[in-house]
Amino acid sequence: MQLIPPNTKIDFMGKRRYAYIFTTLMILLSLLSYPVKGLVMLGIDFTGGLMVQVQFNKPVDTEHIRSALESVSPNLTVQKFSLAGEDYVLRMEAPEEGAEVFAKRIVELLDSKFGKGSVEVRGLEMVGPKVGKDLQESAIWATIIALGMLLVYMSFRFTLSMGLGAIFCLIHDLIIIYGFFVWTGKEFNLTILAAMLTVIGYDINDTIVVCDRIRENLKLMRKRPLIEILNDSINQTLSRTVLTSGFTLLVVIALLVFGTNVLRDFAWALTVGILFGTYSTIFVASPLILFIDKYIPVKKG
Amino acid sequence: MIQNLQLRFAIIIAVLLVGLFLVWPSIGPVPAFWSKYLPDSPIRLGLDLKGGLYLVLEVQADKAVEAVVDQTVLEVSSLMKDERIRYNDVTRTGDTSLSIYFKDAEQAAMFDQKILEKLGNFKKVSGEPAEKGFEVKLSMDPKTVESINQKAVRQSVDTIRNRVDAFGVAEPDVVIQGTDRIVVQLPGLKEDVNRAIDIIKRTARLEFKLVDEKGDLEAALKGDVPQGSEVLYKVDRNPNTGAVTRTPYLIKKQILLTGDVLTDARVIPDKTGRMIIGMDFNRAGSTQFERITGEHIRERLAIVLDNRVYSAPVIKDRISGGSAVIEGLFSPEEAHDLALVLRAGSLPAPVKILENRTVGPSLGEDSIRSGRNAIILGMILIVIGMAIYYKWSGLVADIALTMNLLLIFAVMVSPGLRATLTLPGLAGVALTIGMAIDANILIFERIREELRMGKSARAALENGYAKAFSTIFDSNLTTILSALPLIQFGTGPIKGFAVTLCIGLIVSMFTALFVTRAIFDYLLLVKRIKTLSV
Repeated sequence: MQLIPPNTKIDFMGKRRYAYIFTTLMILLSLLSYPVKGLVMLGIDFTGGLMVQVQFNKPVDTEHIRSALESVSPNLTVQKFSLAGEDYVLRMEAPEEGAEVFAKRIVELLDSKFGKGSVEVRGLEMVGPKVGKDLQESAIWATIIALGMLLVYMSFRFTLSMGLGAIFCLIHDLIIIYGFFVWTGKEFNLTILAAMLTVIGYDINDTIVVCDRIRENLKLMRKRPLIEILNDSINQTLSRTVLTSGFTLLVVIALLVFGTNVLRDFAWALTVGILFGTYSTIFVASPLILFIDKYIPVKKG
Repeated sequence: MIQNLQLRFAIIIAVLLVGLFLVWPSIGPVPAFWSKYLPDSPIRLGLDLKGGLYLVLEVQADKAVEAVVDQTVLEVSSLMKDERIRYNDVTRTGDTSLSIYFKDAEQAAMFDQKILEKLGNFKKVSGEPAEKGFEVKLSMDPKTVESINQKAVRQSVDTIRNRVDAFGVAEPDVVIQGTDRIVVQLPGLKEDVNRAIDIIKRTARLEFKLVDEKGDLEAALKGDVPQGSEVLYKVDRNPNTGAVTRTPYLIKKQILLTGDVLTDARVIPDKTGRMIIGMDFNRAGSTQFERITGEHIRERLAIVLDNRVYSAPVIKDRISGGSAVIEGLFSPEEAHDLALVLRAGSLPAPVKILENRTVGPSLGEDSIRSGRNAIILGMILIVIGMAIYYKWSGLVADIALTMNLLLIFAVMVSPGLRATLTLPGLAGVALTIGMAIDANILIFERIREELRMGKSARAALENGYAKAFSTIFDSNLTTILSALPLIQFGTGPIKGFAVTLCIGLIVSMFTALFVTRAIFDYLLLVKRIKTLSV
């Protein structure tokens, strides 16, 4: 079986002007989220706060929960998160007194509203503001260090231009995922950070496979212009690119199907990351290598 | 070549057996002779899967420093009384400093001569006339502050370890994080979480102090507290009505004896069925207690725990024998927990909860189920997909993939590593399946290319593996590079994810390259097939 016929010759590089436009549009769309929707909704991992997960043994609705808990915290939010059961997430600022005392009071209030024993606290997460700030810093460092190590590695194993192309491509992917999270109003927490770094790891794979081919073809076809070598390399690896992305997406879909709340957002970040990562390898990294070649020539051999 | 192949299969089978040996106990029951050779095996689940408690505490070590300064204030005043140095006031002026106000510069000079050298940890900062008298400022030297801070954190860790040991959790984990934080992890905690937290964070500072019989309590309550004394309350909660009564006491600040001298504390019901806590002192403690009670007959000795008065009985006679009791209206649980913390020792400084993640067991079970289902579904989709797309070669890759999955778990439970499986870790396993198959796809695509160029099956295989290798190596290494910061910076669950991902990728280098190649070589060399089904 073959999805991509052998000797496929799509002129990817010839269409790079359309790719520039599309890429610019997508980045603008992501950045436009800021004036429209503001910054991404940070989870309590980063902002600090209290999150209580409760389950009811009978159908209730969010409005009733909110009204029952009005006295606890003025800006408490209630969110239903499983489609099947009566699972809700309550979010509020981290209380001065211990979170556990707070949770107890919440149960008491809910019990008196919905009947004794109707609610169970399944999980509780309290992150102090100080820790949240630390985690924010760690997150930024983790991303910068990951990108930095990759740039060094790529420049060392391949060429500086390929390294720069790959890193820009990753930044592009991260901006898009970020935009996706702002536009869909999904929460950005530690798990999503892990997803982002996974996407970095996955997308650099993609870029490396193409770059590896470029390196090989540079030796084989010394006389041919770079643009043709890029095109050939993309075409030769196209079958693998489509297949691997496809298979990995299958797994991610499995996560979407079975995942609970946390895993589902994780899977969404991966889906967007894999789709745009595949796109960016072909349409962002390769044109960039061609562009940078004018200034830092890709050394042959 | 054939011999070489035998060796390769021997390695593969050995690895497979070790993998099965390690993983099987996590899946099904094993005979006794088997489990004997394993550590407390089944796979170690993270808090998010097993349920339990994760706390980050901040040790407020500056409070420990303050306490030392406070003690020094008392010490300095008693030394000055002994030396008959006249002063107006001694008071703590900051976290690490105190001021003495003398009648005049002459008295200050006497202090410099006779007392200053006895206060080794304090340095004189300044001495000049002030409103309240001739003021001499003393400041604790920074090295001492530093060492008190460090000691406070270390002691807190020890004390908390002692306390959590009482919960009977299989693998409690209490470690220092950074300079002043303590991470407490109690996976599989069965007890009431609130009670556990209360026990962990309780300072449990037990002090024996005298009631200030001469001072005027009424005046003190209005704000005129005599020097060297303070107002502390006794709080009683009626167990039946829940009504709370607060009784004020005027207590001398000087600490006569602390809970450090305790060797044991236990709950004893008294004659009326109320719970009281019996305490035993060590030898030094008994002697001191005997001396104190002997010197202060007919005075009241207050038993103060965390700045709350529990009782203040009148000392009727010198008490020898080295034991005392704490009375109060305790519920059996309260009494049990109090005895526990007294036995485990007090925290040198209060702790503050910075982070608290509690996962109920039912939530953990749901997470395991969903993670497992996702892995199984992902696995099935890929196995079928590969077999359809690459026919027999796809099946070879499937064998390698299955082995990959087995080995990931084997590495995770292996005694040397004992990695923790978390919910994101399960996602990491699922994802690894997708990424591991990439190696085989790269190889097979290369083989197809070589075959199209008219190469023989043997040559195509040779070239396919050779050419794909550097790509596979680079791509796996870069993914690991991007996961490393997560191992460094991530908290528990995220770290679990990164570790799982790295293990998966390293294992996949073995299964996707070594194992599949051995199978193909076997087919070509031994079975002598002429065409590759790819």
